[in-house]
Amino acid sequence: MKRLQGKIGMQEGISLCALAIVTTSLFTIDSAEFYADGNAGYISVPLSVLIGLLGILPILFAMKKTRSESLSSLLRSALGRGLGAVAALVIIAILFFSALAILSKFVSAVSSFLFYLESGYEKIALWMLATIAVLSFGGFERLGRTAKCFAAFLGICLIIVLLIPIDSYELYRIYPLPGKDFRAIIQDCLSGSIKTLPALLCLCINGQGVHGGHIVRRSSMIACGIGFVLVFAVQLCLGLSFTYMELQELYIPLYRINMGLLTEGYFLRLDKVSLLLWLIGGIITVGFYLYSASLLGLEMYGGTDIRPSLLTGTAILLTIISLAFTEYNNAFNMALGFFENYGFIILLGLLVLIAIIAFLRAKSNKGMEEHA
Amino acid sequence: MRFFDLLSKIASFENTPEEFELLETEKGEPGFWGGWKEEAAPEAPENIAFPSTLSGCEKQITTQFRRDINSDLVLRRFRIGGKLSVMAAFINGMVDTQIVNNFILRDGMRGDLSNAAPPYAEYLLENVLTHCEAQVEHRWDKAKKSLLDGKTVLFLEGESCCIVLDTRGYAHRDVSVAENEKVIIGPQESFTENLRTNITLLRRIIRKEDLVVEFRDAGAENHIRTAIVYREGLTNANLVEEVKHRLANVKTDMLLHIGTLEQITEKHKHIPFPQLLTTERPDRAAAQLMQGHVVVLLEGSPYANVMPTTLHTLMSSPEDSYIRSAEGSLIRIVRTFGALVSILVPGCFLSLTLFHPGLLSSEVLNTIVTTRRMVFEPLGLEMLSLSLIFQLIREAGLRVPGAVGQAIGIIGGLLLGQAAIAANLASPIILIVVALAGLGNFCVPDYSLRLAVSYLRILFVIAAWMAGLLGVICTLIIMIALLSSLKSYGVPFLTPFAPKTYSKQPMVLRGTVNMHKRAQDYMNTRKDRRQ
Repeated sequence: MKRLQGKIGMQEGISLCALAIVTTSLFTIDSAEFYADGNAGYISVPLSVLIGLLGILPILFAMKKTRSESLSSLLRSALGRGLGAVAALVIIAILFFSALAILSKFVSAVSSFLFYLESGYEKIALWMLATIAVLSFGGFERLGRTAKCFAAFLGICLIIVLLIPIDSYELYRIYPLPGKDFRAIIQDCLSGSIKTLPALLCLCINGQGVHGGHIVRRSSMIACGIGFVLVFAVQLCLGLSFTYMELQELYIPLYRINMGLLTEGYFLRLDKVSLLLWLIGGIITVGFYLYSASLLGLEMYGGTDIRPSLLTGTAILLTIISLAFTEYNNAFNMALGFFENYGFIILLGLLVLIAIIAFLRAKSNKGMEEHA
Repeated sequence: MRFFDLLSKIASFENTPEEFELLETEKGEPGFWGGWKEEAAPEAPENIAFPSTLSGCEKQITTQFRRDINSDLVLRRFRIGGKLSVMAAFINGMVDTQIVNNFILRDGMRGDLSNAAPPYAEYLLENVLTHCEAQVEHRWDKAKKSLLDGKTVLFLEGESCCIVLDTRGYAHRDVSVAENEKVIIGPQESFTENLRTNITLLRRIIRKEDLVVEFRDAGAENHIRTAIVYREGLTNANLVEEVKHRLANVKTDMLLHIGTLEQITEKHKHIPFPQLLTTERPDRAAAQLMQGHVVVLLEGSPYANVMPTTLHTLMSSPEDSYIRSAEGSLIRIVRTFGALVSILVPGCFLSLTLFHPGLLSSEVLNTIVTTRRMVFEPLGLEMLSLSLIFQLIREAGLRVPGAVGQAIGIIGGLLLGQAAIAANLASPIILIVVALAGLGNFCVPDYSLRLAVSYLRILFVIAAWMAGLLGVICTLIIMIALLSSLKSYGVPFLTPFAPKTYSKQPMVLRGTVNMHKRAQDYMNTRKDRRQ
């Protein structure tokens, strides 16, 4: 089977996963809805990363219990071929939705903030997807190593971007504390876990590529730790920079964080330059999701070569993104909104179900072995 | 009628034109796209019996070497000890005639065969010929190859074998100063075209008993030799096998330089980055050998191929290790910065001015607009054409010898630049950007990598012209992605950074000398600690 997977080390796995968690958690937030009743992002967004980790833990332990190297082998051993294929289809759909959420956000941001002249969304999407295709066609190894090359650099850039406007931070802006009532915060935490879970799931799908389940467990925990710290820092700095009323108006709040400080006479507009840096994270994340979805499809539905699946996936993403900026915009936003608000119920439920069945199966198998 | 015949004769109408034509079309009409002619069947390996008489040998060698028209081949008959008729064969100019005179002819004629009995070959080696490198050869094809290598072959009357004596002594260039990898502190000598000299240069630095040199035919029709050099006790056996395997698969009509061999043996042929380190410095090759790398030398080529290699190695200079760590680190930072400037600055500048003027402050924009006011070319075309002109000046300066080459660089750079600005063909700011990119390019220590950087710069300019900074970023990701999955003899190109391998040698920063005690982990050497 031509999976183009290769093998990567723990640093690459962590980089890939952390990059995906941070990018998805920071750039797929609908500001108008998220900050509508106050700002509790510095609590709910980092906590959603931890909830995502808690959500994946049963799967990781089920993989350990059933000695599965990857998610596909766990699905087969727990649910069998038929039900496993259905569960895989749900996971693939969630990965595609996550990829679309990131892509649509970046396509519109690049088009609105970066290009002065009128530039077609399709053209921008085509450039991004061509890059994503090159990345994912090189396989997991290429994705992991590329992520390793950029992750530390992007992390440092993120810290610099947060440090530059340090003079403009004001504590009063995060009042009222905690911004929202606890029910709303818990709801944000739970629904936000849909931004973390796909990255962790992708790591599970590529279990063989990171030398097995134990590395997946360690990488997931470290990546979530890094994600937690960075996401908390960014959300806190955003809270210190803008009031929740201002945040509602901002399409990508992190993009605007330097605006309070910049005046005419600066050589470069750092906000726009930094958007390009975050774009790198976005492209790598979408490539990671696309490759993982294709790999899961290949392993669950059969086939000998991953490349046709990758090509089909790229074409689907391009088509949907192109349609998303036409008259189908409302339908696309509705679907995405539904996914972001309720996707976690489907995914968390599914993961818990898979884990329980896997544990039960493992227990019965063990009993049968002892009986025999 | 006669008149017309005469006219026809004068005008040469009856003569069909006869002109030499090399391109044959006997096999029918050539195809629209041309195409190769059918390849001749490969020659069967020569399996000629060794004649047992001198006249047989002479006849065979005269026929095979076309001695009737080829006067290079010298056949000299004489008697050893007045008893045994022998014939020395060698190619004029390839042998040291002093050795032939003193140690073959003189020793042979003065030799004593009174106690000897046929066959004489072994006896002659043991008692008569006072030459250090001599052996008995029973195969005709090998004897012929030795003759072509510059050795002397001694045929014996009544015996189906010969004695091969190493008398090679052809003229070659002496060891000279390295021209392309200059250092200020450190050894100055470079490899030469002579394979033996090159191996001696390596052996003089590495005085280890496990340094192995394996000679083999490179696989070209000109029967040139290669030498595979490695440390038996250190180098990973799989790496040595892979190098031998790739060299064994070389089949080409001609090998003149190691660069051709490099292209044939590398796996990713369409990626512009070099997948081997090509060096002219024996100290650099020796340093790599001491770390467990394999070095391949080719007869007639004053360069060595070192495999595997990484981007980090290609961006390093031997001098980095000869100076203190702080200075070495600073030089490496400058070099890396230079390479990045060379690749990214023209593309970024083009994107900012063409697509994203909002990113620049009004002062900077004003300067650009003012300097470009009278220039009629589009900005992208101006950038591309100036980049190409820069390459043109560089190439012209390289190909013209000595001081004239330097003068071309100065004249081309200064005069052409001034004139282009005065004629409104180029703007000063673009000239500065192109010159800066060119300077950055010269910071790259490896020549092949330097060419790759120039190539990438053009790609980035085109991407920037098409899609602004989005194009630059996408091209950058693609470049890093391709580099990430590139491997040189099984070692990822971005090692030890991606993938991270255990290495106490920092990459951009140099680190102290103590940190260089251990061999690189990615080499998977037989011994962890260097001997």
